[in-house]
Amino acid sequence: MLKYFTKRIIQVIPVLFLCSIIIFALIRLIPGNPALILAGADALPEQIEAVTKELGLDKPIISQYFIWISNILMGDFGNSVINGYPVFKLISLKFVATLELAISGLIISLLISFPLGILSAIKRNGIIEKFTTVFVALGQAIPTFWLGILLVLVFSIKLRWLPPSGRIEFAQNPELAFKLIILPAFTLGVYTASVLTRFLKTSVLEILSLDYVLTARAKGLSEWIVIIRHVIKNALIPFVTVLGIQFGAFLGGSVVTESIFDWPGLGRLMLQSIHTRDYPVLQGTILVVVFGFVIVNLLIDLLYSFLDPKIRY
Amino acid sequence: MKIKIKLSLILLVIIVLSAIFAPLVSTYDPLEIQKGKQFLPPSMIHYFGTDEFGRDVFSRTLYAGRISLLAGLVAVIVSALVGVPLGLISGYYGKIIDTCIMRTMDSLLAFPALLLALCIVAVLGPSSLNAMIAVSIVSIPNFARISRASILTQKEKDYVEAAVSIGASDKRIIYFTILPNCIGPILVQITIAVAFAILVEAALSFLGLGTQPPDASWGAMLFSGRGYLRMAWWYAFFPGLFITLMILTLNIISEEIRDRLDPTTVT
Repeated sequence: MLKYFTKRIIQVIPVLFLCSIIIFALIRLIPGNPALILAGADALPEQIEAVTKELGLDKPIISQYFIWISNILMGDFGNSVINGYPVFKLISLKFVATLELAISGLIISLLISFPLGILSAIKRNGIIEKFTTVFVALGQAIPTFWLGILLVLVFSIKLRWLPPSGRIEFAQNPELAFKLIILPAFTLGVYTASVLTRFLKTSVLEILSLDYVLTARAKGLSEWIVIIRHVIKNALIPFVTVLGIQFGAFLGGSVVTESIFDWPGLGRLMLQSIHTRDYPVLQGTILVVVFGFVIVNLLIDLLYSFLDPKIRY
Repeated sequence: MKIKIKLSLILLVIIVLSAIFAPLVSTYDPLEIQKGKQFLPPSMIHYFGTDEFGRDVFSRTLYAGRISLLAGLVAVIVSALVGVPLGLISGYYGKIIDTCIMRTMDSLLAFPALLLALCIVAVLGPSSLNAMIAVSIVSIPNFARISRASILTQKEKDYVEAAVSIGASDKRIIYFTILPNCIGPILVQITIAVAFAILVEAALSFLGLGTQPPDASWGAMLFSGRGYLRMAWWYAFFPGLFITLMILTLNIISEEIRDRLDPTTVT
C-alpha cells in the first residue's frame, strides 16, 4: 500500500513540473514587453530599464523560470499589474467563493444522481427510468451558460422567486446567501449530475447481474438490504473515480457559472485578468487551479486503491 | 434503425443545411440594422424576434451556425491531423519517444479543457480564428491517447509482422497497414470531438473571447443576449436552443456509432 502511494505521488511531480512550464511559457509568449506595461505608457527609457531589472527580464529565460517557480514555492506569486495587490492575497480571497460554489454544485449533483441512478436501475422500464434517460441526454447536451440563462429567465425574471446574481457571506444573511447560491449551484451541478447518474445506473445494473447478488437473495435477505449492502456499496467504488474526473468539468464550468451570476470567485478573477491583461494574476490563478485539479485527482486515485484492495497498478 | 437515431439524424441535417444555405433560407440580412424595430418579440415577420439593433434574430442564428459549425469542423480536422500521428508514433515506437509525447499530452490533459482554451485565447487575443486554434490544441491529447491505445493492440498482430518481414517502411506500416484497422475508435472520437469543439467555441464566445461583433456565432449571440434578458428572452433563447440540439443529436449519433462498432457495451 505504502509503496503504491509513494509511486503515485512521485508520478505526479513531472506532470506538475510540465504544467508549470506550460503556464510560464504561455504567458511569456504574449506579445509586448511586460516591463513597458508595468512602467506605463509615458515612462522614460531608464525607468523601463529599472523595471526590466526588477522583474528579472534581463536574465536568460531558463533562469527566469526558476526564479518564478522558486518564488511561487515560497508563496510569492508576484503583484497585480493593475492595482499592485499581492496575487496570493487576491487568490486566497476569491478561493473561498469558488470552493463554496463547487461544494454546493457537488451536493446538488449528488442529490440528483444518487436517487435517479439507483432507482432507474432497480425499477427498469418505469416512469423513473424514462425520466432518467431524458435527463441524462439533456443534461449532457445543454451548455452550462444556456442553462444558467434559462434558470435566470424562469426563476428570477418570470417567477421572481430567486435573485438573479451576486453573493454575500453566509454569516451576514443566511437566508439571502442561500437564495443566491441555489441557481449557480444548480447550473454548475446539472452536467455532472447527468454524467454521474448515467454511470451509477450502468454500474448498478452490472452488479445486479453478478453471482454474489444472487447468493445474497438466495440467503433470503430482503431486497432493500441486498441493494444497500451489496449493490450500492460496490457501485460506489468506480463512482468515486468518475467524481474525480468530473472535478475538471467543475472548474471549467465555474468560470462560466461565475460569469453568469456575478459570483466573485477564481473564474471571474481569471476572466477579469484576461480582459485587463493582468498577467501575474492570470498566471497565478491558472497555476493554483491546475495544481488543485492534479492534486484532487491524485487523492481520488489513492482513495480508490484504498476502497478497492484489488487495485494495484 | 431506432426512431431516436432517425430523428436525431434528420434534426442534425436540418441544422447543418440551414447553416450552409443560410443566404437562401434566412429572411433578412443578418447585419442589417433596422431603426425603430428593436426588441420585437417573435412573430410571423421575425420568427425569432429582433435584437438591440433591430437585426433579425432568426437570420443571425442561421448565419451564426456557419461560424459555430466551421469552428467545430476546423478544430476537429486540425486536432485529428496532429493528434492521431502523435499517438500512432508514440504507440508504435514506444520507449523514450512514447514517454516524451505522452507525458506532454498528460500535462495538457491536466488542465481542465475550458481553462486551457481560455489561456490560449488570452495569449493569442480574442477572435474567432484564435478560438478555433485554442479548441484544436485542447482536442489533440484525446486523439493521441485513443490512437495510441489502438495501435498498441494492433501492432503485435500477425499482419503487422508480415508487413515488417516484406520490408515495408515504418511510415508505410503505421499509416497504410495499421491505421485502417484503428479507424473505428478514431471515428467515434471525431463525432465526440465535433460536439466538444462546438461547445468550447460557444463557451469562449460567451465569455467574450471568441467571435467578435458584428459577426455572430451561437456563443457570441448568447454573450450579447444575456444583457437584455429582462427585455428580450428570445435573444438569448434561440441560439442556445440551436447549440443544445446540435450537441444532443451529435451525442446520440456518436453513441450509436460506438454501439455498432463494439457490440459488447451494455447501456
